[in-house]
Amino acid sequence: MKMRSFTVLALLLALVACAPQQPANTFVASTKPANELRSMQTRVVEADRETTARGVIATLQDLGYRITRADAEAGTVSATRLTGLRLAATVEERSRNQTIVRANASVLALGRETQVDDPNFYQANFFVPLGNTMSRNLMVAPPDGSGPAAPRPVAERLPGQRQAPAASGEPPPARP
Amino acid sequence: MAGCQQNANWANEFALKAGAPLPNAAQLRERESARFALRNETTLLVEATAVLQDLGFTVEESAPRLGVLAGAKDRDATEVGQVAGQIAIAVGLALLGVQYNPVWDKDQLIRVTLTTFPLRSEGAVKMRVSFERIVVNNQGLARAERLDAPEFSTGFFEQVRKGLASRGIRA
Repeated sequence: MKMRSFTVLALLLALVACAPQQPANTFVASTKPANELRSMQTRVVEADRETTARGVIATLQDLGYRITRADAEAGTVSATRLTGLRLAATVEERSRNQTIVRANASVLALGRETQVDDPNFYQANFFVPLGNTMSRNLMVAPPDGSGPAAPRPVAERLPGQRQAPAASGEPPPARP
Repeated sequence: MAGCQQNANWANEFALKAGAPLPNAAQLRERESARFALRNETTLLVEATAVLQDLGFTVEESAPRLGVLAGAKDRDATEVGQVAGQIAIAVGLALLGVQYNPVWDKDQLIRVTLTTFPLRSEGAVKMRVSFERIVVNNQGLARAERLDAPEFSTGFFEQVRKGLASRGIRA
C-alpha cells in the first residue's frame, strides 16, 4: 500500500510540475480536427444499449476508475482515476443490436482540464479492455459521421468540499 | 519545470501512463466480487444502499437501471504523530538555517463504487464493490489510494447477506 501511495504521489507531483499555470477551471480542448477526434473516440459494439452501458461500467471499474455519474436515460457514465484523470462515455443505439460508444478523457492539473487526444490512449486504455470485458470485437466509427457528441467528464467532490448535488436524478433504491 | 512546460503533449503522456490497465485487474475483480443467489437485482441494490448508509456513506450517485451506486464519507485525516514529526523536522531544519514547509494529511474522503450485474442463466446477481480514499494534505495536494485489503469487500458482502437474511431472503 505504501509503495503504491508513493508511486501515485510521484505521478501527481510530476503532473503538477508539468502543468502550466492557468486560471482555475480552464478547459483546454483538443486542436485536432473534429473527424479525427471522433474517429479515435468512437467504436461500434454488437450489443444492445443496456448491455453496452453495463460493459462500459464494468470496464471502468476494472481499470481502477471511480464512477462519478451514471445516467441510464442519457446513456452516459463519468469516472475518475487517481485524482487527475477523468473519462466519460456515452452509449447510443445505432440499430437493434448495435450500439455506438463514444469516450472522452481529460487530465486535470492546477485547475486546468486538458482534453486527451492521443488515439493510443483510447484504443489501449479503454476500447481494448471494453472489448475484452464484453467478449466482442469493436468496430471503428461509422464513416457517415453518426454517433453521439463527446461527453464532458463530470468532476467529483474532493475532501473538504461541500456535498456535490446528485446529477442523474434517480434516487437511491430504498426499502419500502 | 521549464522543460515540462514546453512539452505540449504532457496530458496525453500522463493519460497513457496513469490510465493503463491494472496488471492485477483479474485478482482485484475476483477479490471485490461476490455472487448472490437471488433473481431480483433491485432487491440487492436496496440492501446494498442500506448497508452503505449504515456504514456512514452518503450515496452521491445512483443508477439502479445500470446497477450502479457511488458514495462517499468524509473523515479527518490528521494524525497527531505525523503533524508533530513534521513540525519537529521544520524546527530542526530552521535551526540549521534551512526553510521547510511541514506537510501532513488534513482531510480524506472514502469513496465507494458498487456495481451489480444479473447472471440471468444462473438465477443470481454478481456484485462488485471497490473502496478508495482520497487524501488532501495541508498544502492542498491530493492523492488517491486504493483500499484493496480483502476485509473491505468481504466485510461488506457479509453485512449485505445479514441484511437480506433479516428480511427473510437467503442469498
